[in-house]
Amino acid sequence: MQIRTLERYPPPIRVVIPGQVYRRDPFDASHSPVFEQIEGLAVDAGITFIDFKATLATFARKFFSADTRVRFRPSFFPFTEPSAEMDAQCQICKGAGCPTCKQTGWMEILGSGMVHPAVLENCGVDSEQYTGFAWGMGPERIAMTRHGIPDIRLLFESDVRFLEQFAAGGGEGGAAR
Amino acid sequence: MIVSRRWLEALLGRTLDARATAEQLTMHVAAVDAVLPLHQDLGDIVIARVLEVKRHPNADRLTLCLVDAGGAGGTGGPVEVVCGAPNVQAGKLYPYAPVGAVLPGGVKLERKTIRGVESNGMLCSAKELGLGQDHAGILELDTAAAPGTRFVDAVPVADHQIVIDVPASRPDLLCHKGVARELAAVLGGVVKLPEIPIGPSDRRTVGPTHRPTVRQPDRSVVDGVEVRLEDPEGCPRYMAAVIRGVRVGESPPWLAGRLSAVGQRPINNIVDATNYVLFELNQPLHAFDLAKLRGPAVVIRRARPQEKIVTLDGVERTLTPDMTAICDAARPTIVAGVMGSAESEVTPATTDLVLECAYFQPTRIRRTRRALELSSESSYRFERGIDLLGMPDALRRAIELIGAVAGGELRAPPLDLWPQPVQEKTIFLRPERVSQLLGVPTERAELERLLTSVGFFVAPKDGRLAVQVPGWRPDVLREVDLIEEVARLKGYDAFPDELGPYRIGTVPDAPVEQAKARVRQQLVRAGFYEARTIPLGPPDGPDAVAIRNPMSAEEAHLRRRLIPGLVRRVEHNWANRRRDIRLFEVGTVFRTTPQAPEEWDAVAGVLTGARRPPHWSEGAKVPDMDIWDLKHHFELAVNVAAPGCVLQPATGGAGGWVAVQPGGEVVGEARALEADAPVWAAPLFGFEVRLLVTVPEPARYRPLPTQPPVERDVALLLPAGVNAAAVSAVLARTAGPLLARLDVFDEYRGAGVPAGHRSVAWHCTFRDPSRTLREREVDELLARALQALEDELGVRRREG
Repeated sequence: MQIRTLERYPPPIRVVIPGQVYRRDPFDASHSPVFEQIEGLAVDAGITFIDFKATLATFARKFFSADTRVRFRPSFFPFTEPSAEMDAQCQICKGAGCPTCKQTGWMEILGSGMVHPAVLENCGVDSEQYTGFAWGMGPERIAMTRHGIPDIRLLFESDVRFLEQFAAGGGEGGAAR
Repeated sequence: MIVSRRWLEALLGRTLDARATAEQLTMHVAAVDAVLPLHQDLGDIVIARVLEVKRHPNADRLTLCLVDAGGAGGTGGPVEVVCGAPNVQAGKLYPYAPVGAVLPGGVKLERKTIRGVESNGMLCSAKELGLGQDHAGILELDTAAAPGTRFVDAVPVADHQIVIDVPASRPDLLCHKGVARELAAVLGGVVKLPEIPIGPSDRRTVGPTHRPTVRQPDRSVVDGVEVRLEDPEGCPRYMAAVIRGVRVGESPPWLAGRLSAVGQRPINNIVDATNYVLFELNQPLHAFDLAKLRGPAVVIRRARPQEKIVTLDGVERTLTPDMTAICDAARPTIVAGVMGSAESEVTPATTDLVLECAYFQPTRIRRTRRALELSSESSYRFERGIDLLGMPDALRRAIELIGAVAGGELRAPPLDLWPQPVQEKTIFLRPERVSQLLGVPTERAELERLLTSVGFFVAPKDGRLAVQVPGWRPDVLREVDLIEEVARLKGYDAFPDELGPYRIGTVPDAPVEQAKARVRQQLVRAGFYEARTIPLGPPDGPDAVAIRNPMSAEEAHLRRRLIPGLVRRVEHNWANRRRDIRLFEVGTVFRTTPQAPEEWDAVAGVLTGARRPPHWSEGAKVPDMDIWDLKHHFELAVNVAAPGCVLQPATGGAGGWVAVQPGGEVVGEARALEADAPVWAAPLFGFEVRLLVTVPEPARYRPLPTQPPVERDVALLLPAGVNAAAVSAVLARTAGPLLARLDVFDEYRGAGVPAGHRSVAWHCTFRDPSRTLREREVDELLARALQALEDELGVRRREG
C-alpha cells in the first residue's frame, strides 16, 4: 500500500493505512491467522530521524498516557534504513517488570524506520531530495497491551460480555446489553 | 544466537554484568530475548579437602572421609562424610555440599545416617552438580582455592547465556567475536582472541601455522591430497589443511565448558575445536577423516542427479545438481555447508584429518537446506553469508586449537583455492547526508570514530569519507547503511524526539474507509456491537474461493457472505446464556469468477431478543424484536451503506426484503434466520448489504414550514396479498406534493374486519408551503386517492 501511494501521489505524503492481513498461524493466545495491520508513511523534503521519532513517540503518549516512556532500538526491515522498533513502557506494571512484559518493563509496539532510498527510487521519487519514515503495527497486540487483554482469541469471539466492557459512551441505544 | 557472558569476557579482557550487557546490546545492536543464568544454583557448594580416607565399618564399598571444608559443615573443624566414590583420595580437593545445602534440582541435603555412621554432607560428582554426565566418581578439582571457598568462586562454571535475536542482515553477530566487537564499540576497549590454554598433558606443537597459505585458482595438492574446485559458483573460496597424527579424545574441560555454556554437547576434541571456532569467529569448519577418502582427493563439485549420501544423522539423502557436494574421487562425503557423511566422520581411530574452511554461496545453501529439510549451525551461517575475507584467520585459529587439544602435525601450509579474489568494498559517505537524514549535525571526527569502532576503515576523500567495509558485514551496501551504523552506535535514544512543523500530505482520505466509519457509527448508535469473525471456513456456496495452502479442511475457503459467521457468533453468545444480542460486521467477502476471484466490502447485522432495555416502571416484559425491527434496522443500514437503494419485499415466499439499486441490481437482503438456538432464544433476524462507496452530498437546508398542516387519519381494509408499501405508493402518487407526510400508525384484525382482510391506519399530513390549505381541498384530494386505491388495489376505507 505504501508503494502504491508513492507511485500515485507526489510528496508531501502522510498516510495511515489500515487493512486485514492473513498469516498461516493457527490460533493460540498470541497468534491469529487473520489480524489487522496499520501502516503509515510520511515522505517529504527535510524529514529526518528526529521527525520519525517525534511522530511515533507522540502517538504513543497520546494513545497510552502523556507520561508514557518510549524507546527506540535497532532492528532490521528490508524497506527501511535505519530501522527501529519502538517499545512503550509496559502498561500493566508501568515499567517495573511483570510477567506480561517478560520482566523487561517494555512492550513492543511497532516496527519502523526511515524509508530506504531504494524504495523511493523504485517509485520514481528522488531519494536525494526526499526522505521519509514508515511504520507498521498490529492493533490487536496494542489493544491487548492497552487494555490488559490476555488472549488474542477474545478479540474474535465477539462475546457480548467482552464487547460491552469496551462500550463506554457507545452502544447505549439498544437492547443488546 | 546464544552467547556466553564468560566467553565475551575472555574476548574483551574485562568482566561484564549480564543484564547491563543485554541492555547495551538491545539498545545498540540487536534485541536480547533472554538472559539465562547457568550454574547459579551451585552457590551452596564449597571446596573441601579430604584429609583422611578410612574404610566404612559396615560396608565394603563405602569410605569414611575426614573432610576439611574450611569450617563449612557446622562444627568449625573437619567433618566426617560417608562417600561411595571409588576415586576419593586423601589430600585432594572436591566439591562438597554441607548439610542444608540445596543441590541443583532443588533438593535440600539432610543429615543422614548411612549404615550406622552419620554423614555430614556429601562429596559431589559432576552429574550431581549438573556439570556433565560423569557419575562414576566424585569431581576432582585442580584449583588453588582454599577449602571453604565457594565452588562457583573457584571454578569457572557460573555463567550467563545471553540469547540474542540476530536479524538476518547481521551474520557477524552469530559469533562471540562479533558480539564482543559491538560491545567494545559501545563500552570501549578492544577485542583480542584469548590465548589457547596449553595443558600439562599437551602435545606436540603443530607445524608451520605461521607460514602463509598457498593461493591457487582452482586445483592443487596439499600434503599429498589433491583438491579440485570444480564449482566456483557454489563455492567461491575453499581452503584446506591436512593435519596428520592427531589423537582423538575428550576435550579439555575449558573447551568442553565453553561449548556447554552455549548449549552445545561436547563430542570429541576435533569436532569441539571446529565448533569452538564456529562460535568464536562464525566460520563453520569441517574436519574429516583422510583415511576414508578415496583418491585421496577432495573435489568440490555440483552433485550428480540421484547421487546418494548418508548424512551424520543416519539418513540417506538424494542430492541434485542444484547442490554443491564435497566428494572424494568416487562419491560425496559432505553436503556442502550443511552436513557431512557418517562415513567420513572423525572417530576415535582417526589420525589424519582434512580440515575444510570454505565459503559457500548463501542462496545455494538455502535451497539445499530447504530441499533436504536439513539444517545445521553451519547451514544457518552460510545462508546468511560468512566473512569471505576472514577465512585464513579462522583456519589458522582452528589449526592452533587442534594442535593444542589433539596434537598432530601440519606438514604443508594450508591450501587456498580462490579463483576470483575480491577485496573489501568501499562506500562513500557524505557527512552532510548524515545530517540531512538524522537531523542532527554530526562531526566528521565522530563519524570516523563510530565507524572505526566496529571495524570499518575510514579515509577522507574529496570532502567525503571513503569507508572500507569489512568482510563480515555483507549487509552494508550503500551510504544509507553506514548512516544507520552511525545512528545506532550513537544510540537512537540520543536523538531528540520533539515534534516539528510539517506539511499536510497530498493523499486524499480513502472514500471506502469513510464509508465504513459512517456505517459503524450508524450501527453502534442503533445498539449493535461490532463483531470480528474469521473470513475462513467451509465453502458457503459453489463460487467460494478455495485457499491454496489452508490450515485445515474446515478453513479451506474464503467466505462469500458475512451472515453465516455472525450466526456462529450469536450461537456462541447463546451458549453463554445471552438472550439479547445485536452484532454487526463490516468486512470483506469473496467470490470466484471465470476470471480472477473478486472481493468487496459488505455490512451485515444480526439481531435477536428484547426490542429495548427494560424500564423499572413498566413491570411487564419488553417485547422481542420482530420482522419489523429487522426492516427498521435494514433501512437504516442501507441508507448509510448503500444510499440510493430502495427496499422491496423479497420474492420467493420466505418473507423479508431486498435492497435494490436504481438500475435494478439487488445488493442486500434481510430476513429471519435459521440457527442452532436454545428453546429460550427469541427469533433471530439478519441483514447483509454490499458497501457502496459514495461520497455523500452535504444536506441542503429547506425553509421551515410557515403554513399550518391539515391532518387526516384513514383506516383502510387491505385484502390478503396487498401490502402497506403498495398502498402508500398509490396514496403518495395520487395525492401529489401536497401530501407532505404519510405514516402507518395501526394494524388491526378481528371483529368488524371482513375475513381475509386487515385494517391498516394511516396518518396523512397535508401542507402547502405557500398558502393555507382549505379543508375542502384536502377532502377532495383524499377522495381521489381513495378512489385510485379501490380501482388499483381493491382497497376500501373501513366504515365506522
